[in-house]
Amino acid sequence: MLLREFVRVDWERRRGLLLLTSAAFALGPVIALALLASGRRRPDGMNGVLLSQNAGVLLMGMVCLGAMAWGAGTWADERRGHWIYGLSLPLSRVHLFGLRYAAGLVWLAVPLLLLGLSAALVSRAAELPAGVYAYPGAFTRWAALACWFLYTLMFVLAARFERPWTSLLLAGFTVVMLGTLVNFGVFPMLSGMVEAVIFGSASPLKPLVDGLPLFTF
Amino acid sequence: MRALILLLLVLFTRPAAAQGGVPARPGSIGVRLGNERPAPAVRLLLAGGPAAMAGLRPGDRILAVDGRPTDGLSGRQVERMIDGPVARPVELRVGVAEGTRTVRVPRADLYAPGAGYTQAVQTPHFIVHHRADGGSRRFARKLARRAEAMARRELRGVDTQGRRAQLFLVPPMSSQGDLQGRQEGMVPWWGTWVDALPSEGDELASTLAYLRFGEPGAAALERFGGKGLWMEPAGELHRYAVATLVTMRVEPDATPEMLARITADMTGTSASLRAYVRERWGDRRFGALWRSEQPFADAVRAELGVEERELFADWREKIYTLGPRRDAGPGLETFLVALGWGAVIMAAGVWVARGKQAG
Repeated sequence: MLLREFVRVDWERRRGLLLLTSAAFALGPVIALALLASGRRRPDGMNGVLLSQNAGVLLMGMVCLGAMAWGAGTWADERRGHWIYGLSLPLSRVHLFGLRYAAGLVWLAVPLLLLGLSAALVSRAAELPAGVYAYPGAFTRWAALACWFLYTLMFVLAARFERPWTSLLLAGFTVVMLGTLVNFGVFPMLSGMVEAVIFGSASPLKPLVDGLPLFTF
Repeated sequence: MRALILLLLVLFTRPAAAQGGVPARPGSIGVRLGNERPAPAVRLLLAGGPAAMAGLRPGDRILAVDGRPTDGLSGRQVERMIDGPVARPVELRVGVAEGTRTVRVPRADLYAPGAGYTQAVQTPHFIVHHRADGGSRRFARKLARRAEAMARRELRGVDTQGRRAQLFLVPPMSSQGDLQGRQEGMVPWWGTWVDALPSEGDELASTLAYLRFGEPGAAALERFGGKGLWMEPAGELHRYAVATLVTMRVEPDATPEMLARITADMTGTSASLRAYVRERWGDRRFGALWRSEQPFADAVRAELGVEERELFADWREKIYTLGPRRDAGPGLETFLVALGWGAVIMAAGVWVARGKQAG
C-alpha cells in the first residue's frame, strides 16, 4: 500500500519528465528505422546501415540520459523544501529510501516497455537489406539493464548530494574521462581495469561504448 | 556494512580477464586481403558482409585505413588495422581501376553464437558452446579438454594473442570418426579435424574454418540439416573464416556422402568447388592442390596452371551469406556484474541514509 502511495506521488510530481522520457524511448526505434530507410534510398545502400548504427549509439546515450535524469530527479522535490512529506510518514529513512527507489523503478519500467514494444513493432515492419537483421530483444534487454544500473547510480548520488544535475554532469564527465583513458591507453593498468569493469564485455555499460544498433549485420 | 561494501568492491573490480571472462571479439568487415605490394588487395569478401555491401570488390587495393597508409604492410597486418570496436565504422581509402575512393564501412560482430547455445566450457584456446540437443555437457567438457591439449601441443610458439576459437556442439551426423564421439552418439568429425590441427597460425585458422563452413549464425546449422560439429573462429582467428574455400581440406576418412553434403551445403547449389576442380583437372591434381604446402595462390598456379582468380571466378558470389545472430541481451556474467555493482551502490546509499538518521 505504501508503495502504491509512493508511485502515486511520483506520478503527481514528475509526470512531465516521465511522459517526455516515454515519448523519447518510444520514438528511438522509429528514428533508427527512418535513418535506415533514408540511407537505402541513396545510391550506396551502405549508408543506411551506418546511419542506423550511429543512431544506435545516440539512442543508447539518450536512453541512458533519460534513466539518469529519472534517478537524479527522485529527491528533487524534497530538496525544494518538501522533506516534510517524507518526514511525516511513519517510516525509517532506510524504508523511505527503499520505497522511493522502488516507486521510481516502477515508473522507469514504463518507458522501457514502450521502447521494447516500439523496437518489436518497428522490427516487424522494417524491410531490411540483405544481410542486415533486427535485434529488438538484445536491444531492449541491454537498454533495460543499462537503465536500471544508471537509475540506481543516480538515485543514490541524488540522495547524497544536493545538486543532482551537477552530480549527473560529474558522473557523465567521469565516464567520458574514463572512456578517454581507455581509448588512448594513458595508463595501461588503470585503463585495462576501467575497460574490463566499466566498458568490458561483462559490463552493463558496454552498450554506451558500442551503441545499441537495432539494425545491424 | 563497510566490510561488506569492501568485499563487494573487491569482488566486482577484478578485471574480466582475471575472472576468466571471454574477451570481446573485435568487429570486422568480412574481408580477406592478399600480400600484394605496395598495398594489399582484396582477395575474398564475405558475401552480404559489411565490406561487400560497401561496394568493395576483389582486386580493390586498400591504400589507407582510418588515414593510416598501408604501404609495405602485409594483408594480415592491414586486416588487424581494420578490426576494431563493433559499430564503429572504419574509413578505407581504396584503389580501384578508376582511381581512388574513400568508403566508410561499419564493423560488425560477424561471428556471434547462433540461437539456442549456452557456453559449456572454456579453456585457454577454446570456448565450447552447447545446444540442448548437442549431446551431453560431459562430452562437451571432454571435447574441450582434448582440443586444448592438442592446441597446446600444436600451437607452441604461435601467438594467438590470448584469443579463443569457439566450438559449437550440435546433434550427431553419422558413424565416422572419433570413438568418444560415437560412444556419446556425437559428431564424427572430431577425431579428424583435431588431429589435423597444423602448427602455424594461418593453417590452424584454416582448419577451424573448414568445419565452420564460413557461415556465421544459425543459418549454417539450418543449411547443414542441423547436424555435424562446426566451429566458429573467434578473435584473432575470425577473419580467416572468409578463407574457407581456399583452404578447405579433404580429410582422408571423410565419406563421399559427407563431402557431397559439405560441398553442396557450402555453396547452396549442386555445383561445388571440389566438383569443379575435379571435373576440370581430375582427381590427382585435386589431391595435390589440397596437400600442397605452398600458399594457395602459388599452389593453384603450380598444380592447375591457372590464376587463383580464375579458379574462383564462378565461385566468389556463392560462398555464403550471413545469417542472423542470436537476438540475446546481456549474458549471465553481465547480469551478475551489474547486480554486484548495483548492490554496492545501494549498500552505499543505505549506509548514507542510516548515517543521516543516526545523526
